[in-house]
Amino acid sequence: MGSKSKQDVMQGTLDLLVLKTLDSMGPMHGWGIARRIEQVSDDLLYMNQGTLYPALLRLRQKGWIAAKWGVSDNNRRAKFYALTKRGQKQLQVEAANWRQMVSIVARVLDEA
Amino acid sequence: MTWLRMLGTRSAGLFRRSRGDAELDEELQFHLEMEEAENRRKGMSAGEARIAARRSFGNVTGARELHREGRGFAALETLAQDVRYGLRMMARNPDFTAVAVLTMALGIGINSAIFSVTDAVLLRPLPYPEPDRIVEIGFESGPNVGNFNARMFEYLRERGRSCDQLAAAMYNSGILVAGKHVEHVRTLEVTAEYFSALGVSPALGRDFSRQDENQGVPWSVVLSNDLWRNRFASDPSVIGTTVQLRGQLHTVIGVMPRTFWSYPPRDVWTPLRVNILSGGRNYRGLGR
Repeated sequence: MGSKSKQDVMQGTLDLLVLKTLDSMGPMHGWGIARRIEQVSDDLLYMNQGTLYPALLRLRQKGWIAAKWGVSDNNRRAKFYALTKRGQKQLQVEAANWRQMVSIVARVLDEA
Repeated sequence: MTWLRMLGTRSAGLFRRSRGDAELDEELQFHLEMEEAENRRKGMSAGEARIAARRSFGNVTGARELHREGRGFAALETLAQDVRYGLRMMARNPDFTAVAVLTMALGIGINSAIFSVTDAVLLRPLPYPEPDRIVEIGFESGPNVGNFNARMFEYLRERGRSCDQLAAAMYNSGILVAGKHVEHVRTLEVTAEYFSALGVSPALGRDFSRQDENQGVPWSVVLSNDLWRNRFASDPSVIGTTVQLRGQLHTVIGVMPRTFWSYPPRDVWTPLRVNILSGGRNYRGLGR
């Protein structure tokens, strides 16, 4: 665990993290996405990996990602997810929203 | 269009639940194996690696349930179960099913019959020119609303100023003899203004004039298009010939167009000879 305690993935930010991961890494399977998010966060982010799959389904239903069966690096059948055009637009919107949110919260905190 | 796509994947999920479950199971299985292999690479024993993989995944059943809920409509699945149950019960009690189906069939049949008449008679505009100007006229006396008699009609026709055309009509029937054909026909006795009040004129010949209402002149008759086609072989020279109706000779003066709609249906129209001395209140009023 290290000196810093692990943070849970904040409610509502999982969508943004998944979209961003697929944007920078290209098509990935569910485990790859989970690994990647944990790695990029230097293992500071603790993700209940089970919650990833309902999120992937939700993003698919919104048309932001697409799913296709493929073959993994170790030659196993796996479902690969890829960002759609609409997903790319959504990523920009969500990223902007997030940055705005962070700056607002920071401003409120600094005020004190 | 997002909701449409969602509806698509969700309703597909409803019918392919087992397939969706199998796909998800395969996906989760793959995930756990990958995690386990990763843990082994980090130096864990086989048992430790499996337990750690499970732990980091969290609640597998919970994830599966969440996924299933997202995939279909939980309420619709319950409905589908109820429907299946209902069908099974119906198959098990064929007598009850037959009675129930028959009852519903009768109910639906009678209702649609009533509705089609209501629709034609009450709901749809009358199939005549400027249907909103056509009025039915009744006579109110005390609590009773009813038809009027000849004296009332004559009075209204001469002095009433609300209608351009005011006509009276009376349902009747009789035996029509035309050459070898003898048949019972539904007739309507009408005053001279009847057809012009409806805004229609005969396809062949002429309609009634005030002259035809007079006592003593030869009787005249207008034929419906159906009768003309079926009994007179669509012969245009029928105009001017005579037929026998209720034992009286009648001269055929006109044939109505095929499109003319009469409710209730009538076969022939004859002049209504307004008998001032008659006190019977049998006349229906019609105005435009």
